[in-house]
Amino acid sequence: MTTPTRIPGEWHIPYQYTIGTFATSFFEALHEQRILGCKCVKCGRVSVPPKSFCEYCFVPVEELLEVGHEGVIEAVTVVTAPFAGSPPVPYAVAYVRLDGATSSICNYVRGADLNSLAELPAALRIGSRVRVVFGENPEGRVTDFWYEPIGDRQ
Amino acid sequence: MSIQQAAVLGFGQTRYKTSRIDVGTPELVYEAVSRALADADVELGEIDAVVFASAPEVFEGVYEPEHWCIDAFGGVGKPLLRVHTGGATGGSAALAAARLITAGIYDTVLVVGLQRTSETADAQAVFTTIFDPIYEQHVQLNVITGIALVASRQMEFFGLTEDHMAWVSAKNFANARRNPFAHLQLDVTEQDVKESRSLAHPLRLLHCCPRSDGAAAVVMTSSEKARHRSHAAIVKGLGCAADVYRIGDRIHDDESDFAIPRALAWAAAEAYKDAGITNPRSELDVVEVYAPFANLEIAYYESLGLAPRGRGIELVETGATAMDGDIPFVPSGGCMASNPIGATGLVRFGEAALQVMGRAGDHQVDGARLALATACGGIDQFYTAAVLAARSS
Repeated sequence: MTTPTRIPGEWHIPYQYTIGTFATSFFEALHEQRILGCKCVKCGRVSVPPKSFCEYCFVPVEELLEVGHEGVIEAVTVVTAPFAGSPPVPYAVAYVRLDGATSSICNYVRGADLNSLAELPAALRIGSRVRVVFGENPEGRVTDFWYEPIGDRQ
Repeated sequence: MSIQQAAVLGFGQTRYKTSRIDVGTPELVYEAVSRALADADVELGEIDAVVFASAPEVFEGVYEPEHWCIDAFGGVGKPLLRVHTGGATGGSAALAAARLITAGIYDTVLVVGLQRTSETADAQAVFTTIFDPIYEQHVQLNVITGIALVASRQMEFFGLTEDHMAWVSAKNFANARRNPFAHLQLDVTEQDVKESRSLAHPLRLLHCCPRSDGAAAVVMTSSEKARHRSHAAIVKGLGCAADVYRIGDRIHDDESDFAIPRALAWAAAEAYKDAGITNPRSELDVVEVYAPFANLEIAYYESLGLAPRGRGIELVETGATAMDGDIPFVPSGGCMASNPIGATGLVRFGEAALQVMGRAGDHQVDGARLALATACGGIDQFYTAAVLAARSS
């Protein structure tokens, strides 16, 4: 009986992703501890992160504006099983609608007690408020900030 | 809608496994295609065109696998299209083939689906690359975390509990044991599901699909050409739709809450209209849904119009979607038991065809005349829906 074998292979292809001026402004603002969204003049939606068109009205969007440093959790999970490239587990990830925005943006949530996960801690429930915390050494990545629980639930 | 309809003549699939180490990739495709041709009683020379379905090549590590595998599906000298809508790929390919037939462009079309997820060690690292590299990849999202985020909203707003998810998992794994092609053949109780390893709250290992190697193929022709065949399934309705890309843009109001995918509702509405279905709950006999996670199946009960908004869990509580319920979901075990991603949507389509042809073997739903097959891609972003009917209905 032949035992089938395998031939090893690898893809190693570096990329430089082009992000455009809106996203560049977003990341530059993170250096100044500000979070930028954009506002569609037609429908008034404030999208965070910003993009240079409104998918609802299908018109260009030109206005960048600053949104709040607090917001509300819209969707959340605590990852408990590691995978290649993941941070050490457990860690929490949430989509948060920042004050003044109509969309939500994903980031890590730090500072919640993740030791007992029979159910999510109240601080991480949908509807809980969180604040934005900025790291000390911004790298021009979305992870230059993260969320931390405030404690009071809406 | 044109008078001409598409009809399924045959379906072939491989045994799904973590690794089909016994065959190379073109050989895996050949296995499915040769079975489909035999099942359809069609010679390769009668095939007018091929639609090939495969999702991220990062799994196979070979770019454009449709070219590598062309000999294995008899594609040389024939028109060849490749379709790619992520996990929905197999459903989109079936839809494309049916439309080519109903448009009168080709008479007989072979649809091929392939995925080899075993060639790389870490599927979730592959899935991280489907996210936006500017704002989302750095948070290390993947499919499991993405669907856990969906579940968080189902739990908060629509009453979903671990009990509901455990029931769906146990049901689907039990169904898979009736299907000799299913990858996972597990004896799983609801308690086993609740005690399985946590991956990303609230998802546990036994709420999630495996990653599978496998291929599938379907032979379709015009209803006119299928008229004298001993068995055929009529494609009565088709639909597809996609939602906006960013998850954060999909959470805003009742119309778009990210918990109950609206793009599947759009796709299903189109397919139902096409098929003349006005009350899917009473008219459909069986559903082969593409739900790789237990919570998604429950969300889809609502998207598919089978339960009122926020009450999908009632189909669990009443047992409606069990094998002996009034609308069985995934009698084959579905993609929670086998998930060769790019092929999976085509497997759902082929399984739905088998049901209405009365050829599903041990997982046959008695008397099934009208079946729905769906497919899902991205993080709940792309959907297809297809209604298959027994010939005389």
